[in-house]
Amino acid sequence: MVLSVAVLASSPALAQFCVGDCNGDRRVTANELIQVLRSQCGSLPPQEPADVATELELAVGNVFGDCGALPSQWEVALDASQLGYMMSGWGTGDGAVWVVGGRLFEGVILRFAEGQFEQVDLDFPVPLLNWVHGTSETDVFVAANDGAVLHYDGASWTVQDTPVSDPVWGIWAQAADDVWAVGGEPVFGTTPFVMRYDGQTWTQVELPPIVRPGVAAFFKVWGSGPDDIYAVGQNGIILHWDGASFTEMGAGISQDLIGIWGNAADDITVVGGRGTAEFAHFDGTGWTRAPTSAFGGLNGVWTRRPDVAHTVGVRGTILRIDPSTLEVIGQDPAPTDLELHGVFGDATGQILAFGANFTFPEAGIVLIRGLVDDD
Amino acid sequence: MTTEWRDTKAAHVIAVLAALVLFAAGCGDDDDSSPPPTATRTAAATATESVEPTASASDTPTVAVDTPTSIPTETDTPEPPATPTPTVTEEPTATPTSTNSPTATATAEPPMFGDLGDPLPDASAEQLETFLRGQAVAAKVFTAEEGLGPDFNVSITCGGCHEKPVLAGAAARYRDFLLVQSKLPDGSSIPVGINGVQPQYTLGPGGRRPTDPETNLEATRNPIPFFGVGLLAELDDLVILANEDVDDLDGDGISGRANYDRGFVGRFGRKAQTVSIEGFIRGPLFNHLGVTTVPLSDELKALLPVPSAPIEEGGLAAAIFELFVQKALAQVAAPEEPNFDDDGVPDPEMTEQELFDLVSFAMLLAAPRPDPPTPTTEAGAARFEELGCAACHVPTLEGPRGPVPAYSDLLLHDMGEELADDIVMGLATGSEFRTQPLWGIGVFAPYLHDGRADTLDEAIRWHGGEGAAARDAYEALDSDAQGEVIAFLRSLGGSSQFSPGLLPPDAPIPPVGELAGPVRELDPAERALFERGRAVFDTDMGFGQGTGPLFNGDSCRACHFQPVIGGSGFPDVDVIRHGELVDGEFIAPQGGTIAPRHSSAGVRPPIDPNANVFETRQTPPLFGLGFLESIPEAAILANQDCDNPDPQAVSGCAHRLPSGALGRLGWKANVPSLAEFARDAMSAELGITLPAVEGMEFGKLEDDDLIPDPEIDVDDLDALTFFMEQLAPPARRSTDPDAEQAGAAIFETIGCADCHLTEFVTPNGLIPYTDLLLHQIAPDGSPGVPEGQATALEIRTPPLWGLALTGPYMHDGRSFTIADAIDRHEAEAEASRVAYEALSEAERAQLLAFLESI
Repeated sequence: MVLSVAVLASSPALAQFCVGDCNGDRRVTANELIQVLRSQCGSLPPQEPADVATELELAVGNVFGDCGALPSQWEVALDASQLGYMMSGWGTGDGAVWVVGGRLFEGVILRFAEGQFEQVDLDFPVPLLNWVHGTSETDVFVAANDGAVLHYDGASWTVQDTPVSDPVWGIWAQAADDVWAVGGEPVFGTTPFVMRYDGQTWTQVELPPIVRPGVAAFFKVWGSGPDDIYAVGQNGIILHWDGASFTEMGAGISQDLIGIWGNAADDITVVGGRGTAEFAHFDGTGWTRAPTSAFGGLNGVWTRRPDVAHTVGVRGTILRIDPSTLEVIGQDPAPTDLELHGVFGDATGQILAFGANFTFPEAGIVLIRGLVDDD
Repeated sequence: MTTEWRDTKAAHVIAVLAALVLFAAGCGDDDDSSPPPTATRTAAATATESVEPTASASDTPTVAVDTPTSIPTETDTPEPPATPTPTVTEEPTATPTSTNSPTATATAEPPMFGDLGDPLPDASAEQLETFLRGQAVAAKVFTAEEGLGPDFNVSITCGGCHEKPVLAGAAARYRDFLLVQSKLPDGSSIPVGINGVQPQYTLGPGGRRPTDPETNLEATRNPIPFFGVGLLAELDDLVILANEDVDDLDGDGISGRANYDRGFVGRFGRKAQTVSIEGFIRGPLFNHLGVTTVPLSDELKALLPVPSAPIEEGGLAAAIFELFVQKALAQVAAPEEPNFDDDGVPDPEMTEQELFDLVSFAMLLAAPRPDPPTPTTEAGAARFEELGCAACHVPTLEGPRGPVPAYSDLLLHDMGEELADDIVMGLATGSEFRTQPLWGIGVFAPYLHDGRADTLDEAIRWHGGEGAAARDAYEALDSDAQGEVIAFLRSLGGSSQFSPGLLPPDAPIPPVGELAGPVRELDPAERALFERGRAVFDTDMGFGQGTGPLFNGDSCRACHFQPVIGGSGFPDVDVIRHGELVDGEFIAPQGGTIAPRHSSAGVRPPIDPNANVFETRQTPPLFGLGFLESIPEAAILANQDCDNPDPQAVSGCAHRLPSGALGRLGWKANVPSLAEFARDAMSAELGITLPAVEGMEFGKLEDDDLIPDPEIDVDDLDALTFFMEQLAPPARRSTDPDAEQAGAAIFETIGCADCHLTEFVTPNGLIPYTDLLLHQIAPDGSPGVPEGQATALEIRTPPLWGLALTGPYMHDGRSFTIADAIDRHEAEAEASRVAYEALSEAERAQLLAFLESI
């Protein structure tokens, strides 16, 4: 069982927590939580905590580290070889995560909650699903091949009309009525696209003439607010939306940028590279490119604090990077050599990585571990 | 910080490796017992639609470029020697071959050496079978129907660029290729072309692949040999890293740092940008041939001669592998993505089995066996150390079979402005290059990454940056001592296989009447002249011999090699003609209609910016041209019917040249004689300037390179002409006489023989099947480049003898089968084509049998 722990108030001393299903039926205080954790984890100290916050950290850490709920090292959470590629995951932070992927002609949506993966029974055919993001449990969007976008309203999934037919690689839900998606056909195409959803309709956004050659696709989109949206893609392109128009940027990276995530408008990390890892950081004024490293290409990035970005890439590469210094903090041993495509963590202290073998034989995988303090 | 972290990890790995030896040995036993690869595996199921690309082949073997490098000639080397020509002899000395050497046979050498092209001596019987299959794949010629293109530089899997002195080797400058990039203000350099490679050709209209308009950086690359690459692949990353001295802590002026590919130490490519042989093969297949592949599965990787697959997941073995052993199996790090193109041929265009065989072939290639030492080479070896060459060209790296004498540390070194090309690949900066392995170096001219150096001496003098001190020390030696160094370098393998071109040393003259043989018995003087002419034909002319400044080939053989020397050429050596068509009037570019592929400046030669007409011209075979030259003019003129007003009637026009001579050679019948043909080709294709000869009109007498004109003498030209005159026409190749006889009758009946005449017959009874007249067989409106009196669409009837051996067909070389060539006959030939189409299937087969027999 995965023990989901969510902080429901900003101050640990005053906090209430939930364990397992966080719908409010098992809310507990910090001390109660510690008792719960202690009851499940024999390694917790027997004495009453002198400092609730410290004790709570310890308790949660022990749960994750010692009780088997969340491993301290990456482990395989799901061998999805029967389902196809595992492309990405996202959740609202309560421990449940939507996972998307599938095969070229058969997209798959999984719901991961309390340690269990459950496949969503879609009653209509969908192509490969590439990326998932949303604003709430009842407002989830999925980017897919063939120009498809799926939406979940809390009750059912539907396919939305879009003005494009090329693959949609990335999607970012700023609000229920302000969703951005990007894509393009990277091999045979010539024109990338950005489109925006206003709650009713998807519309392609006019792009400036792109100076950077060979850009036929954007791969991801992320924003810190309605007037601060970034799209990244082929050959190192970065586009920035300021609320009125897009401006082409560059971080000095020549290879594809495949992932982007940030903590704030002045704390954004992009990753990419093909044979060799590339990453760069935006501090609000400009992009700084990391020195070319010895690591293989990166595909996904997720951050929860300014000094750590979790990135994943080729052949099971999992790196922790300090975006502020552009230094590699460390490389996590991974129990796979598949291509890792996405990574996502949440406030419950879990982090998941999603990957695949994109050639024969098709394979998919989801990895998991617990987040620790310096993550 | 990153480096420190890596170093820390590396140190940790070293610390625990000893404890893992027993475990690793156990794994090796398992590997040895792996079942052999079978040929039953077929192409893997592959994606046919888009999957977002993850790290892939796209950046592996190719990449960017920088400002054009000024290619020196002998007279503009950075530090010219005291005399214009190096005093060091670079002809290989008659060193005994190791196979005949008592020393070599008596000494137990590590199982890694062989003659160039040999398999590793310890290859198993099953590996040898794979080697042979892979060898065949490496020599395979791709046609459009098999997946060539849509854009390409070469059409032979590996043998196009890796042919010298044998398959898997290096290549002369005619196989140089360009890296192309767009350098942007933010410092990024975006590969353009095909993953950063500039294809010269396209199967699309016109045949010339244009340069992408964003290109602002070009750099030349000369192909590098593959011998011994499996031994380099076997090297543990840590062995390479052990020579790193990133910050030059020892203060010797030599740093050296590794490049990385997918997290492993790179070792292949001019910038060590690639770690895996699979990646180093799949990339060029796509970028240079347009041939698509899928990555080898882990199952097949596990069967490769060099361990290339991870241990199965789970358990202690996997954990240990992940943490400690993985670095020793860097071949797992091949690009994971299939590649696709839109040429209409289903992807992948090479089967997984073929790819497996090809990668295995490369991995099993033996390292060049060094010559037994002589006093001279031993002295040279000592000087090599003293000069500091060995600081980068480290004599050996410790491999699992023993010391691997590649004479390279496989690390990047800053070679200074002298060699900088501004190409960034991974960690490699624009002036950093991998230390080129030196085994076999004596037979791989030209030298350096862009092939700028004709000789080893010149290559040494071009060293800069970290190599400057060694260069200076070399230049300070007297010529005898320099000669010792060169002799030592030449002793590092392959010397017995040295060839100034592609003909093997002491290649005999084929018997009379055979392809590449003379048409008649030659007396001793004539044989000597024939051999001299053949040598001129075959020899790769260096920049110092006058090649350039613009050129398509650096030898006659470069284009005329199919199926043997003197033959035709594949589409990858087509000549490209161009010009501007304005209101129906063709305007020839000022420099002529040829758009050369190469320049000694290391950039793609410019073309007429207004050109809107391009046309490829296939390299026709030269067999039997002496006979064509001997056909009386009156006999040719007797067949012309130039004024026939019916455009669909077979007319035929003689091409009367401005000199008054009758043109009879070339696709436009624009050359009157073999002597003029030799001059024209030397000048237009190689950039060799010619001596003035009374009565001769073709070719340039001077150019603006720094080599004194003329760049070839009359005697060599005469020998070359004699060689071509004497080349025997192809003999008949009968396999089904009845079908061929029936086909011959059909050939006459449907009108083929109206142009492909049967009336000219050699004394030996062979028929060229040509009237040597101009006809239009392309429909009106087709693109074409006129020449002299030959209009844009008029083509001389090509001889058909040897047809089956000398494809592809048609003047543009875009028909890869005889049947397709027939299908493309229109205009004057339309009636014949229609009649052909009306034939029964059996009759068409008979006609094709006849055509293949002639």
